[in-house]
Amino acid sequence: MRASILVLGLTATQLGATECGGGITRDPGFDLWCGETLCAWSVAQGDVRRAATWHEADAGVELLASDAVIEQRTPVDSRDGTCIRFELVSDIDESAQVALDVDVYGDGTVEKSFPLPTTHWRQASYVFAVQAPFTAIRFAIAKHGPGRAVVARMRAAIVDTGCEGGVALDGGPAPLGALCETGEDCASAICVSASFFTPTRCAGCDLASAACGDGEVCGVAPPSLPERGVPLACIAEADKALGEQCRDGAECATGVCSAGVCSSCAASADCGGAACEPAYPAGPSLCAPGQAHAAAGEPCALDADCASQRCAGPPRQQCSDGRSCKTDAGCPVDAALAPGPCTTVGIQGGRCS
Amino acid sequence: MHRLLAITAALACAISAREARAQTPASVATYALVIGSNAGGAGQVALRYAEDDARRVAATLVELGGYAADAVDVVVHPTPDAVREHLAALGARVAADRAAGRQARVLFYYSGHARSTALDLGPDELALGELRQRLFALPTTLTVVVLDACQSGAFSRIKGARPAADFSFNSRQHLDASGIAVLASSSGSELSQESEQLRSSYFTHHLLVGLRGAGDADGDGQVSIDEAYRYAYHQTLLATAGTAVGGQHVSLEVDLKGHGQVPLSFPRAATAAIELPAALEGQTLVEDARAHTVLAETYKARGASVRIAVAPGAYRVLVRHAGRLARCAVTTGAGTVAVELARCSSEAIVVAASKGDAPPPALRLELVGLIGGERHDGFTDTLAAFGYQEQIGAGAGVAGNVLRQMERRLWLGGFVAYTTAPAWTQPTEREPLRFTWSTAIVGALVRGVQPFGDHGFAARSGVYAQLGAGLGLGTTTLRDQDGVRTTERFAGWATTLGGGVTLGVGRAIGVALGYQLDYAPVIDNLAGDTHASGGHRLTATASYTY
Repeated sequence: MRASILVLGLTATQLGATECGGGITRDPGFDLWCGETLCAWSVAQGDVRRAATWHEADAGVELLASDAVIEQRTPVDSRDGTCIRFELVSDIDESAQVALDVDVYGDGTVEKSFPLPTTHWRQASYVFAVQAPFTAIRFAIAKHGPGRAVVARMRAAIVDTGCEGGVALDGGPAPLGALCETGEDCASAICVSASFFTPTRCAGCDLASAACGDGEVCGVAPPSLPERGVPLACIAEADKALGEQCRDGAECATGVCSAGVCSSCAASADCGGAACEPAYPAGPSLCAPGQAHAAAGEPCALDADCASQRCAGPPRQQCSDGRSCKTDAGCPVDAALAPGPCTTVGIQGGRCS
Repeated sequence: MHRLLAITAALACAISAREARAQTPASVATYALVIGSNAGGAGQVALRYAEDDARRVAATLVELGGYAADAVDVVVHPTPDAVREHLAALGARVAADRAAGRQARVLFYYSGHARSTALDLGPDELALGELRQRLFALPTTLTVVVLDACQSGAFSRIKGARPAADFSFNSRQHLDASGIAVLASSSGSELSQESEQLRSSYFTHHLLVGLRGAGDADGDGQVSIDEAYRYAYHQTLLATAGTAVGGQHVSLEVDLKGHGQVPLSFPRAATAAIELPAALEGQTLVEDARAHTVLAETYKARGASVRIAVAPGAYRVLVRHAGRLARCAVTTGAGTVAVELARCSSEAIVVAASKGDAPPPALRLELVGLIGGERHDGFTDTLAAFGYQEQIGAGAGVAGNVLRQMERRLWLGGFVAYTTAPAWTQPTEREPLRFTWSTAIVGALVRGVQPFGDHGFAARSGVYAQLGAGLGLGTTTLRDQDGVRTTERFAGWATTLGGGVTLGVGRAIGVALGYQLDYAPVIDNLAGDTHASGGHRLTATASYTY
C-alpha cells in the first residue's frame, strides 16, 4: 500500500505539465536571458547572442558561426495530444541553412528535420503527428553556414486538426519511465502500472514476476530525464541511504521504507513511545525528529534531530515530487513549464556526530 | 398646371408691361443691355447671384420700366468680345432710331466681378476705359449705367462725372435730360457684397425693391433715378453695415443737361401690388411663397404706407420689430392688397447674411471625443506573429477643432487630434511584454455642411462631411520582460475623413455625432512594416460658435 502511494505521487507530477495556453515550449519568444545566455533554451553547440527583431527592445536569438544549435526538451506526452504545430518567426539569409529538428523522447535521435525557409521576419508554420504513446520531445534549431540566422519566436502547441492523413513520427522503443501501452512499446519490453490509478510506464523489472538477480530487488531506480516518471528497475538490495526514495524496505539499508522514503521507523511502536514522523515534508520518518533526541551515531536527517545538533552526511537535494536532483533542470516543470525547484531538504543517510 | 400658372403670370406681366410702356413717350426708344457674370478671375471666388440679378433686372425693366421685351438684351457669363458685340448691336439699333428721328435711351447694367480698372469676366477682362468709351459712343440722348461690382464707383471717377444734381421734370414727349448717369453699387475702393438670404447682391436687391415702389418717395407712381439712388443708398448701407466687409456706399454720378427727371420704373402701372400700411413698422421682407425668393427687404417706418409692385401670386411678408417677428400671408390679384397685421402670426426669425467674396465672421471651437477600433494591417500582423495579442478594448482619443465659416456651407480651419490604440501584450515568465502606441495629428480641416433649413434650429443643424490632412506624430512604447520601457517617435503625413449630423442646440452651443476614418501611416518597425494608425471611429462633438 505504501508503495502504491509513492508511485502515484511520482506520476502525478507529470500531469498537466504542458497546460500553458496550449503551448508546449518555454519562452517561445526568447525573452528570458540569464546574462548573455538563454535561460529556457540550451546552447547545444556553437554560440548565440541576443539580437533585435521587429523592435530593438524585443530580442531574438542569433545563431553565430557556421554551426550552432539551441534546444529545448518539452514535457509534452501522448496524453496531451499527438498532433503538434510549431510556428517560427525568423530572419534567415540565403547563405544560412537552418532546420528545426524533432527528437521524440529527447534521446538524441532526430526523427524529423524541418528545413526553415529563407525569410525576413515572416512566420512559418508546420504540423506533424507523433505516434502514441510517447513522452517528451526535444526541439532543436540548428544552423549551418555563414549567413545570418535570427530566430524570434518558436512556439509549439498541441492542436486538434491538421495531422489527418500524415505519417506520424515514430520515436522508437520507449525508454524507462516513458509512457507505454504494451511491452512492445518499451525497450525493456516491460510495461507496468504501479497502481490502478497511474498510467503504465516502461520499467526495468516486473513487480509481479520479481525476476531480478541475486542481491537485487525490483525497486525505485535513480531518475533519468524529468519528463519521464521515476522508473522501476532491478537495483541493489538494502543499498539506499536514509532519505532516498523507495518502494519497499528491502531497498533500504535501514530495512524500513515509510511513505516512499527510506526511514528509521515506520510507526511509533518502533520508537519506544516517541512519535515516528517525517523529519521534513516527503522526508524520512524518524523517532522524535527535530527534538535533539538522537544520540551520537543514530540516524538523523537534520541537525535538530541530534542531541549534539550536528547531523553528519551528504546533503539531500530533491524536487517537489521527492525525486533526487542536482539542479533545477533535473526536476519536472511547473504549470509555466519552468523546471524545479531542486532544493536541499536535509541530510541523506545522516548520523549524529 | 405649372404651365397654366406660367401663362397666367406671363399674361399679367404683359398687361403690366404694356401699361408701363404707355408711360414712356413714343418718340423715345428705350433699350437695355443687361449683363451678369458669376465667373471670378484669378484669386476671386465665383459669385453666386450676379447672373440671376441680371435676369431679375431685365424682368423688372420689362415689367415696370417701360421696356419692350425685345428691347432688353440679357447677356450672362459673357466674354469681353461678347460684350463688345452686344454693345455694337445696341449701337446699331440706336443709330437706326436716330436716323429715323427718334431719341434713344439706353440702360446698361452689369453685375459681376470688377476691379478699379476693368470688369473681370472670368479669366478675361474688359477695361473700364474701353467700356466707358463704347458707352459714350452710343448716339443716345440719355444713357444710364448701373454697375453692381466691386469698386464700381471707379467707373464714374475715371469718367470725371460730377455728383448728381436735382432733376426736375421729364416731359412725356421728349427727354428733357440728356447725357449720362452712373449708378454704382459701391465706391471706388469698396467691395460689393452678396447676401445668402436675399439670394442677390445687396445693391441690386434694394435697387429692384426701390423700383417696385419702395423708392417712390414723392408718391407720384414712378421711381426716378434719384429716388432709386437714395433708396438703394440707404438700404444697402443699412444692410451691409453689420457685415464683416463693412458698409457699402452706393454712388450716383451724373453728367446731364436739361431739367427733367429720369424715371427708371413706373410701379403705379403694375397690375398687382402689396401695400405696407402706415401702421406697419420694422424690418420688412416680402418673399415669393412659391419660388422662395426675396422680392423686397426694407425698413418700413411708421406713418406712411408703401406700395410694392408685384406680379399676381402668393407672398409672405415678414416684419421684425421690437424682438418680434410677424409672418403674414398675402395673395395678390389685380389691384393692391394691404397687409393685415392683425392676421399675421408671430414667431422667431434668424437672418443670416454673407458675401460672395468675404467670409462671414462665425468662428467655431469644437471638442471631439473619438472611440473605435484600431486598424489591422501588416504591422499588427507582425505583432501577432511575434506572439503579441491585442487587448480587449477600443482605441480612444480626443480632438480639438477651430473652424471659420467661409460661407454658409463651407468651413475651414485646423485641428489637433490625439488617439491611443489598444495595447498589445505577450506573456513571459517575467513581466509581460507590452507594446502601446499613440498618434497625434495636427492639420487643416475643410468641412461642408448642408443645413436642414434656413431658420432657427434647422439652420444651425445639418449633415456634414469633412476632410483633414496634416502632420502625424506617432509614439510607441515597448515595456519588456524586465519592465524597461523603450520609447520611439515617428512622423509622417496623415489624413482624416468623416461625416455626421450636427445639431445646434442653442445659438452658440452645438453637438454632433459622426463617423471618422483616420489614416496616419507613421509608425514603422524593423521588419519593414508601416502601421497606418487610425481606423473607423465614432465621434461625439461639442461646439461653441461665436
